[in-house]
Formats: sequence, C-alpha cells, structure tokens
Amino acid sequence: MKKTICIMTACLMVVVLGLALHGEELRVLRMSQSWPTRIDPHIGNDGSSRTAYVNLFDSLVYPDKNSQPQPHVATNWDATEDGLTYTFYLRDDVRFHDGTPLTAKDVKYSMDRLLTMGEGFAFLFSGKIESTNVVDDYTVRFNLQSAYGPFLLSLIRLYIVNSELAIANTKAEGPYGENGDYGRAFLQMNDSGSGPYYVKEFRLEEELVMGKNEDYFIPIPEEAPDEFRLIGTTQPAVVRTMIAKRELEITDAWQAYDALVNMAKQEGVELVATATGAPFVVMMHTRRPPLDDIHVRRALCYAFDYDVVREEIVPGAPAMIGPVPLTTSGAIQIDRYPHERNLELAREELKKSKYYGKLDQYTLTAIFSQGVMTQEHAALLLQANAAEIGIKVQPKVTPWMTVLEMTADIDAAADMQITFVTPALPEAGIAFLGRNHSSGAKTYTQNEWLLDPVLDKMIEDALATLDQEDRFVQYAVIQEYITDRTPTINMCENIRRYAYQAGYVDWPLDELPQPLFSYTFAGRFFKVYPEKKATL
Amino acid sequence: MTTLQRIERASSRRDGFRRSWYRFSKNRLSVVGLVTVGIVVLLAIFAPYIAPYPKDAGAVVNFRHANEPPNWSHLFGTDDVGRDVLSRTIFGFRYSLMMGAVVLSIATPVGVVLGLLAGYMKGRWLDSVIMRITDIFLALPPLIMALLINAVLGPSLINAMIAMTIMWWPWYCRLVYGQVAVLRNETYVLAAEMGGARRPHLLLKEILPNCISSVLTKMTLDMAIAILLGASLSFVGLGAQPPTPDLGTMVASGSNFLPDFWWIAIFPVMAIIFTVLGFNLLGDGLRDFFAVEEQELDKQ
Repeated sequence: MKKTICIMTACLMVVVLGLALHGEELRVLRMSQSWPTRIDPHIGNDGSSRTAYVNLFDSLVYPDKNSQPQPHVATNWDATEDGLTYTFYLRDDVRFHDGTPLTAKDVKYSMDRLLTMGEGFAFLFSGKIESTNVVDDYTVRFNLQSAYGPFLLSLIRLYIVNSELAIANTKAEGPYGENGDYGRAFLQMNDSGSGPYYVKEFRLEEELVMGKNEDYFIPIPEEAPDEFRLIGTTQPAVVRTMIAKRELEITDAWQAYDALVNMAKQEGVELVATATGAPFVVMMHTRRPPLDDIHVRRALCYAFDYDVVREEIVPGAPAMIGPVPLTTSGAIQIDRYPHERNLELAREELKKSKYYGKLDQYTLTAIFSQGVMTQEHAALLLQANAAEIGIKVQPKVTPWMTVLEMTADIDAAADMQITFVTPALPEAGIAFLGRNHSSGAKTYTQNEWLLDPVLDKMIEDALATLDQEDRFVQYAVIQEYITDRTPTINMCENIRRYAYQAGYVDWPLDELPQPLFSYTFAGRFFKVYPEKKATL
Repeated sequence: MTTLQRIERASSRRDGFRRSWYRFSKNRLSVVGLVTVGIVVLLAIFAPYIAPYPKDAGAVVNFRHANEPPNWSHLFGTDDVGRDVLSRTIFGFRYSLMMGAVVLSIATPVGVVLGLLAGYMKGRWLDSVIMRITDIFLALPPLIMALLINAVLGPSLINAMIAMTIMWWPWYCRLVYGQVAVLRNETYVLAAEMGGARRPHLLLKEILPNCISSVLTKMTLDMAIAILLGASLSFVGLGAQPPTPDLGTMVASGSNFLPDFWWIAIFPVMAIIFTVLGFNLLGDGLRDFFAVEEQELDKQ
C-alpha cells in the first residue's frame, strides 16, 4: 500500500513539474485594451477590434512598412484600364482554422456580407462595388460602379471569413432578408478566420485569448508568441501593477504620459511611441451660434496653445499644419491654417465677428470621452485659453456611448467635441471620407456638420481618380478648401504611447506600418523570450 | 412683566443652555464632531481667503507644474493639470457641503410636511396615497435610482442634486409619519383638539415640535450620507464637471494616477472622510442628547 502511495505521489510530482515547466516555456504576449473587442471582422473598426482582426484574419493584400498593399492571399492581380474591373488570383495553400481551404467564394461572401451589413469598414467600399464574381476556386473578380483610386489600399481592410462555417451557422431570421442574420450571432463569439492566430478562448466581457496557428501559410518564427491575449482593462492602477509584476507585456494607449514614464523606470520596461495618422482635434459645430461664424472659429484656433499640447499633454506629438496629419499620404502643409497661438490675431478675428460684444451670452460645451486623460487635459486647456479672449467653454465628461448618440444628431450634437480620429487607412482621401464628407457626418468622426455638397463632390471626384499624382493634386485643393472654412482646431497629430517589456519582448516597430493602425500589433512579428524574463 | 421676572427668565434660559451643553459635552466624541464640522464649515465659507492658490479652483491650467509631490509651496502637491491640490480640496468642502445642504433643505420640508399630513390622516385615503408613493421610492436603491435620474437628465452638479433630492424625501416622510401616528393620540394633543384648536395649529404647534429632535438628528447623519452619495455620483462622472473642484471628481481623476501620484487622490479622500466623520459624530451626539432629554421630560 505504502509503495503504491509513493509511486502515485512520484507520478503526481512529475506531472506537476512537467506542467510547471511547460507553463514556463509558453511564450505569452499580453496587452491591455479598451473593451469591448469584436471578433466579427465586418462589424467593428475600433482600436481593439482592429488588433483582433489583424491577428485572426487574412486579406487579399497586406501592407508593407510604408502601408502600401502587397500580395498576401492574392498572389497577383489585373485591373482594366478604366479601373472598373479587378481580377485577383489567390494562393491555394491558405486554410481556415478548421482546415477548410480559403477560396474565391469566401472572398465574395466577405465582400457581400460587409456591404450588406454596412458596419465597420463597409464605408470604404459602399457605393463603389457593383458585384463580386467567383471566376474559379482561386480567382475572384470585383466589378466597380465607378473608378476608385484607393481600391487596392482599401482591400487591406477586407477581412475574409470562412463562408461555409458562417452559412452553416446562419439563423434564418434576421435583419438581412434572405441572408437571415448573416451568421452574426455565431461570428460574434466564434472564430471564422485563417490568420496567424486562432481564437482559443473568448470571454466577451473580459479577455480574448489567441493561439498561434502552426499551419499558417507563412511560417511563423518559433519565438513568436504561442499565445496572444487581449485583456479588457485600461484601469491605470491595474495596468501599472500588472506591468510591475510582469503579467502584462504591452500597455494600452490610454495611459497618462507620466504614468507610462514611471512604468518605464522599472528594469526591462521601455516606452515607445507610434505614429497613428490620427488628428487630435476640437471639432466645432459650424451650424450653431456663435460657431457658425468663421471669425469666432478662427479666433478660437488662434487662442489655443498648441505648444502646451505638444509639450505637456501629448509630448512629442507632431504639429498639424493643415487639415490632415502629415504622416497621411496626400497631406500637404498649409501655413495659413491657424496652427500657432497668437492672441492678437485672435482678438482681431473676434472684432470681425458679428457676435463681437455678445459672446458672453454663450457658453460652449466641449465634450470629451470619459476616462481619456489627454482629452480631458485638452478640454481644460481649451477652457483656459478661450477665457482669455472672453469665450466661455464648459468641458463635459461624456461616456463614449453618449458621445456616439450625440454625434448622430445635428441638434443633439455638442458645440465642440474633443477627440482623435484614427483613419481606417493612411490616405488623405480616406481621411476626408470620415472627417469631411457628408456620409460621415452622423458618426463620431465629425462634429463640424459642414454638410457641403461642393466639398462632397470634390472628395468623390478625387477618390475616383486612378492616377495617384492627379489624385493627390485634387487632395491638395480639398485641403485648401477646408482651410478656407476652418471648422476645426487641429491640436496635433496624436501619437500613441505604450510601455512594454523590452527586457524579454522583441517588438520590431520600425519594420511595421505605423500609421496604419493595429498592424503594429500583428503577433507573428513579435518575439518573446521567457528565459530572459526569468533573469529580470 | 417685571424686571425681576425678565432676569429670572433670562437666567433660566441661560441655565437651560448650560445644562444642554453640559449633557452634550459629556460625550467627548460629539464635541469632536462639532469641532470638525465647524472647521469644515469655516474652511468652506472662507475658502477664497484661506486657499493658497484660489485661482486653481477655476479654469486654470499649469501643465509645467503638473504632478508635483507635496512640498512647501504646495503642501498637498499639484494635480495632473498642475493645480494646487490643497486649494482645490478647501474649495471642495464648499461643493460637498452645498450638495448636502441643498438636498436636505429641499427634501426635509417636503418629507416632513407629507409625513405630518399622512400621519394625522392615518387610515384615510390621503394617508394611503402618500405612504404608497413613499413605499415605491423606498423600495428603490437610492444610488442606483440617482444614477438613473442623473443619466437621463445629463451629468451636472445641479442634476446630481435633483436626483438625490428625489430619492431623499421619502425617508423623512416615513420617519415623521411613524411619530405623528403615535403623537396624535397623546393626551395633550387630544386636549388641544377638544379645546377647539384648528388643524394647522395642532400639526405645527403641538405635534411638529415633538418630532423635530429626531428629524434634526437624522438630518445631521444624512448630511454625511448625502455628501458621500454626491461624491459617489461625481466619482462615476455624473456629478460636477471639470474644472469644478468637487471632492468626488478629484478622487475619480486622481485614482487614474495611483499609486505614483498618490497625493492627487488621497488628500481629497481624507477630506471626505474628515467631513463625513464629523457629521456622523455630531449626529450620534445629538441623538444621545435628545434621548436623554426625552427621558428627563418623561420623568418630570
């Protein structure tokens, strides 16, 4: 009996030791994220969902270091000269996580689904695609309604889902007619991708655990993380503690600068900054008094202290000299867009305004999202600066869901909204779609309510221009046009800062496309060294 | 009235006060409470003169001095925007006291009047209507309800006060109702009624003075709870808006910087504790004091 107990104990110890050793060897990459994260690639377009998509799904083309589309699932493609038909030839060795091969019908299904549901990145293609045809298993053809300059670039955001799996799990009843719920309920919680990582575990309210796809069509280095976890918290004290205990490898982008600096004081933790192409702006409601007067808007632009933003609030952020951040392709510098503090000019502008002498009757509400410190700081700075020229501004903390509701209605919208708008793709024309075209007016990306048909037409014409050089000339004209209306205080181009465990994580930031947000978080390019962690 | 009578009355009033103070001060803790509340009230009233940087309570930013730890020029340090935490804490007392005072000064009279009416009309339809409405309100968790009301009206200090007032009056109504139901059958009330006293006289002169001690005690204790609730609403972003130096808002934004810049949150937290503790001790003292007084009256 004693012998049996001894043997059993020994066996147990071996198992426990084995597990412990195995646990040590697992390469884990953990990142805190603002929640919720969505894993259905045709629904979301926020930061944490984008991070999930990049890892779980593939697209026809993949961005290189300069954010330009390169062959990925598609090996090559042809386009007709009028830019109305594109034919893509696919690799035959790409498989979904359940083993099904990825074929042309999946690409068609994904494009149709994205356009029918009309959410997430659908705006990149809506009104532009006439039809998608399956030529054969590995050839797919897009017929466009009109020429669309950044079409190839936009395909970076067409994430391909497993159509067989989605169709098999589609509920007959739903808002999409014959497509029922288009597999929405299923895809919300289940893996449907072919990407370098698969969904290991998804707890909707807390965490997304992704495992390495060992059968990926591009070999993934052994040192790449075996597990990539997105953890749903940005709570500063929690993030700080997890970094200190080395239970978190990368922080989210929402931590205050000083807090990040403190984290980086710990051995092996470093602070990095990435370009985002996202303007950090105060959007002014141009249809509401007194902001309907361009002189009041220009006065506010001149009263604002841009240096404080770039030195203290988002330290190191590049200036925005014009309506589009300069890291965006097609952006130009327009000096006459007010981008430096000049109280004298501000007062001169006020004198030209029809509201001169009556401004004390107005209190302008400036909303910002709850919990985003940089936005709160900018709001307080705006209040102090505006007070110097006699304009009353009242900052107002607003939960994100309320921000979304308010920006959907011209009457409910706040006088001013302070936010960053991370563009889907780093090209000026795409940025205009969200920021200035009327189709984006009812989303959080706009609160200016320009609703200008002339501007809309200019943007549409530019986007329909195939030749890049010609297109960029038109982008320049559009930026001049926007400057003449000065609807926005362009505080700076936002940069995102992260603290990460540089002591045992290799993050090749310089080789990744930075302004194309979330591609810096493609797990397969990271390397994690648990043995180095043990020595820290 | 002769001079002698006047002197006698004055001295007996003075004696009464002395006796009351003696009874109150026998409990050391209630004196501590009184002093604490006194300090808080004085700080709140004279905030612009006491605070070292009174401008920091308003729309001022000074990012170049952000997050300085406590030092001689900023005893409580500076916050994430570079404002003096001590000055803002002193001004914070104003908003906390104002929150408590406004809420109670509206909720109490409403609750007391409704309680008086319902208690006096016990068994009639008015009693049922008032008390059932009261029951509905009492069945709802106050913080959740206040959150809901505030979320609908939009976050601001005024709306936080409205939300709290709506949730507060039923407690006074219930308290007074219980007492009136007993008092209305007391002999002196019946005697006055038979003597031809009219209803307002009975309610205001005979019954109300005998409920007032418990209402006062409850008000003092509630002041602490109201301040806490107000701070909680502000903490979740539904109270005062920046840059108002409300203690709850200060704790909420300071908690983002814990543990590195602990002073931004800790000092406002201590200020809340100080205020709440003061009102609680004072309330306890008052309760004991009134209890003893009633016992003595009973003996007489």
